[in-house]
Amino acid sequence: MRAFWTIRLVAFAAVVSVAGCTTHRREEVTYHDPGMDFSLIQKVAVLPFVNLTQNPTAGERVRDVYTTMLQAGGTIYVLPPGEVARGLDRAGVAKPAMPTAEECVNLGKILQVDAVITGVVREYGEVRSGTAASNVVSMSVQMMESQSGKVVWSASSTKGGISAADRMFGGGGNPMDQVTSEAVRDLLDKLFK
Amino acid sequence: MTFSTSSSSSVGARLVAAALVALFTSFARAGAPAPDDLVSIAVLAPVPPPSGQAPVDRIAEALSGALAARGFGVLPQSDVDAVLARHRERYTGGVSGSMAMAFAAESGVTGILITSIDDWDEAEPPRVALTCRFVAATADTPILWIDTAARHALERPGAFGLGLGKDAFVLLDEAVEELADGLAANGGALRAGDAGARTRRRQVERRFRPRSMAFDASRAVPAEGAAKVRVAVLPFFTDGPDREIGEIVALQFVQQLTKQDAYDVLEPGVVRQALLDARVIQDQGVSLTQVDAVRALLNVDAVVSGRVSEYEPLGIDAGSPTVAFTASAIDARSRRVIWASFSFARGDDGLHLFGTGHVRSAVRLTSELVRGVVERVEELTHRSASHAPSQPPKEGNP
Repeated sequence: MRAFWTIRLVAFAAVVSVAGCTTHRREEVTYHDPGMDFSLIQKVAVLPFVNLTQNPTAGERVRDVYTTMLQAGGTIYVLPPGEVARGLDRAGVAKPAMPTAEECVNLGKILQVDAVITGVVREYGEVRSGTAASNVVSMSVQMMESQSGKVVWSASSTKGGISAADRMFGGGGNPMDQVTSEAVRDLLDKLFK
Repeated sequence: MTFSTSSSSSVGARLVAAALVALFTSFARAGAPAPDDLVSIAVLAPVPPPSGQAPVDRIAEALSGALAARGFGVLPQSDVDAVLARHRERYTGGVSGSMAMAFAAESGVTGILITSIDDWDEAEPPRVALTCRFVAATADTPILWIDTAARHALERPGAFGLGLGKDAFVLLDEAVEELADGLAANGGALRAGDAGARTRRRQVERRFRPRSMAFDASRAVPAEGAAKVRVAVLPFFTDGPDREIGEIVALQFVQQLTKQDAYDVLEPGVVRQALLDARVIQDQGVSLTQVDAVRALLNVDAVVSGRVSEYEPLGIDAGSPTVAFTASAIDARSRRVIWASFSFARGDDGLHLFGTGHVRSAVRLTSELVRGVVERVEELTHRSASHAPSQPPKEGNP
């Protein structure tokens, strides 16, 4: 009987230790407004992204890639960034990266867009763990419908980082731009799915 | 007898010598143009790059010397400076229509050679990159020839690495010779005042194609029999303090678009003058009102611009540069983006067997990436034109 309990205890310890070694991949949250017909959105403005990283240009870099790749999808027309900047000036938006619902409606009228996209870059750069190093991007994006200023879609994505293989065999991961385009592609997949 | 033999051999030798001289003279006449055929050039001294200590005068002298050796009539530098001084022109990175006319009227040149120092570093590993363009000295300043020569001390190692270890001035001489040869090869066309026949180039490698591409076939495809698309390339934006990086990428777009038959690309000096006249300040990208202003001043069909997000000439390893940029073209009439692209690559991406195909120079890498974008646009344009006879949509339609 004692041996039986010992075996069970060892097995339980093994299960717990294996579970502890595995990485827990956090679920990224995606929100789609169930009452929204996304096929009506044909023209959008991508506003400057909030940059929470130490890299001062991360927000603009990610926004630039996002704008091009969104347009490359072929279903949505994206206003040029210079035109968006002009619209923000005309609308007098206090915080261009975080417009209020009223500002979003006003901006939509000025730019004649169906929706406004805002974003936050949470992480952009190199991460290190022991001798391994890799690039990582973490960002979230939301779409506000310009008739009402309501958020109709929101998603986030994290790409890059150090994998178990990187730790074991070394390697510097993918270039920053590749990681960024992977994260943007992931977000666009979530938008169009 | 001995005398007579010697005399006859002497006459024979003289005849052979005379024949050789005549032969060489005829070859020399064929190689060097007669004075009437001379293409006379004003070589503008390049604008010194803010980030480097490039020997501007030496580059201008080397180019002048190499062109003179190939039969071009090169205007002395003092005369070039005198024309510039008379018109109070300091900028030599481009030429406006009025300045081109002034050169033609006051010095009688047929064209102006404008040089951009895209890369210069004497430190280890040395590297040099020059882009030259030949602009006709007429009011509309067409670009008749443009090319880039990029050299890196670590490329072309040759057998047993004998090709390594060149210093920057040796690389400079090689680059100058390459550019002078390229210009001389088009001498006939330049004399006639046209851009000459386009040489068929190898297709750009897959690794240099754009990673993402948006293309509006309804607007980007010109109508059948339409004239060339008149394009203005604006300087690209850069995230860092090195503003000249944006100009390097823009100049590569000028070069690659000029090499396509479908486009009539405006001389960057003319575009710069128009932006100054219209007081267009580009701080956050091109707005549609700026596009309207450029169209009103230059009567362009499209405006190309973009942003350089990464430009590392050295990269992580020595000689593995990294370049990333987005580019877009806005149709000046419909005021809509007709194509947009995102490109990035490292010099050591997708190497071939034994590490061949390693691109060491950031300028060469940029050139390949830009060529990838322009070729892709051409490919999509041809495909769309052959598939469906597109009707241009009404203005304002999404």
